Amino acid sequence: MALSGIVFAVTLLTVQVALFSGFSNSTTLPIAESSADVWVAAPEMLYFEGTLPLEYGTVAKIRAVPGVARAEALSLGIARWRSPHDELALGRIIGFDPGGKLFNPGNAAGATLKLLRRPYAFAVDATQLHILDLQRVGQSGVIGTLPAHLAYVTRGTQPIVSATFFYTSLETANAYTPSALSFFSPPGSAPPPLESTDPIMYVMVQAKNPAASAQLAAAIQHSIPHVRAMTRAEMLATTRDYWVKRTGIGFILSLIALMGAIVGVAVVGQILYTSINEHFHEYGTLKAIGVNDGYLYGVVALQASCMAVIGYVPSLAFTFAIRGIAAERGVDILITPGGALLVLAAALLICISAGMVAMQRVVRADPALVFRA
Amino acid sequence: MLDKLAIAAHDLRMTYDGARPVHALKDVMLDIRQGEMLLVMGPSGSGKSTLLSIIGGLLTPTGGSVSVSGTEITHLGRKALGRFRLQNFGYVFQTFNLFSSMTGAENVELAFDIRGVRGRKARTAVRDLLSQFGLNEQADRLARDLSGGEKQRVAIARALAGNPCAILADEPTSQLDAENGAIVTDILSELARKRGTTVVIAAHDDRIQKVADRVVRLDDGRL
Ligand SMILES: Nc1ncnc2c1ncn2[C@@H]1O[C@H](COP(=O)(O)OP(=O)(O)O)[C@@H](O)[C@H]1O
Ligand SMILES: [Mg+2]
Repeated sequence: MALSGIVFAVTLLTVQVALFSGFSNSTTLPIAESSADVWVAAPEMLYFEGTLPLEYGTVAKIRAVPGVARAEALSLGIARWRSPHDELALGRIIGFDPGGKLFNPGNAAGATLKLLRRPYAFAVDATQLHILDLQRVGQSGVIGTLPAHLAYVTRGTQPIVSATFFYTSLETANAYTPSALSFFSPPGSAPPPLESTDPIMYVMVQAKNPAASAQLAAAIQHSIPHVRAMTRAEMLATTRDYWVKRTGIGFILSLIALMGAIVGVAVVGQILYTSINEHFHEYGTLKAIGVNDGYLYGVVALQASCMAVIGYVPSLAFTFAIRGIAAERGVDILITPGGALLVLAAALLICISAGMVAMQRVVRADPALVFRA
Repeated sequence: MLDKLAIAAHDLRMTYDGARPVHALKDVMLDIRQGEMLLVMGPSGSGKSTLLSIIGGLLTPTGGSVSVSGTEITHLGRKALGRFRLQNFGYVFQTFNLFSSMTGAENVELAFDIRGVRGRKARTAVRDLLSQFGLNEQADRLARDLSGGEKQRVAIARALAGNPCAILADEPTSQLDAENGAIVTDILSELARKRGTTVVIAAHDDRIQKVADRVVRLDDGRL
């Protein structure tokens, strides 16, 4: 009854915070998957998928910048997918070097990763298989006009907000991109290596001294014209902020969390108000005896904190429990220590403030009340 | 011991505002000496509770003044008055006003706790007080399960936790049977005689009349 109300409100809050963490974490998955210290993009870049191309030749120029240990290209294209049963889907092709060190979606084993070196091989996240009308590794479809073979399946790599990511080699990605040479390459032949004028989207850079990645980013930006070089943290923040702040999604999730908090205040306030009213005469007696307001608030704050903790524990358990169900649908519910602490703090704040309001009536009451039978 | 002035009420007037204002006290003058047991009698509605509330710092009179052990309390602020009550008065109520879901001992311990006395020291003092009133057995029973007489004895123990200079009791025996009424009356008169505590009781109980040092009568707000 009373307890279930609090559990309900705190659960609502916990799930929202976890969804929010999961969401904001999910938007940056491709960046988090890379071990690059510095990301180089076009100056117009807005967020991971919203950017303009660079030339492949930029990679070689960046390798020449002092302090760069390694530089690898990442390309992004549009994929028009047609399944074995002629089901259509739209996705994004992420091209990278499977022999490189800086990008490995889902942390595949070395041998698995090398499967992408084969022409027209790709990997996708397990949550995307049904969208692509695929059941198992080895099945094939068509991207654009070219074949596409599912080489392996990744886990936990697909952002909720993005269209299906097809992970391929740079060459395959380039071939799938309609403007490129793929148009001329005869079907069945391997896609050719990239020319220096072919488009890529990012250059991922490993610094010789990772601690000095900010300086390295500045140096790259200084020596290569028309690029924007960001540290990993900047790149993560730019993309996350785009989704959380510039799209309505962050707002919606915050709004629902706020509603959880409001329901919480209402429920807890109601419970404490009823409880204090039941004991009104007893609290009034304390007031008559001469306790200060702080003591009365202290008593109710203690009660409220107990309620907050009692509501918090099962709600956290519940949120953990629904994680698996959500994950199957590609929705990440992320419970970070910070998020868990935030919810606890919010639950305490909600309960205590509701308790304070409920206690007001006693504090304002006339102490002479006690002598009226 | 009966020479020192404990409470002096001067020209007390109390008017309750309302559709028809009620003049509950009219020019009441009353001096109460330290260690005196004073009984205020009068029919229902004559102003006994109002007088006790004003003397006890629970209610601010419309006019006049009250001084307790030399402190003029009618002009104290809300917080200062609360502190003054905590340090100087113990209250006993007609309906006992215990926390029903706490044990007898916990109720008394709470009265120590609000005065900052905690831990072993408080628990020892609680047991002392309860055993003085023959409540050793009842200490760990929930207040709601005690008899009326036991409740009122716990309430008196609670009122004594701050070692007050005065106990104010509003109809402390009217909810009790004759036997328990007599026990409570004896306890209150002992307090005045042995501890030198000033005891002011509002009641219309003949037994109290017999043991009181002085009886005053209120009639329609007038002494
Ligand atoms: N808070 C109040 N508001 C209005 N009238 C009151 C209030 N308290 C007491 N009275 C009135 O004041 C008069 C004295 O009441 P009270 O002091 O309770 O008398 P007693 O305790 O002798 O029965 C009564 O007429 C009562 O109705
Ligand atoms: Mg009365």
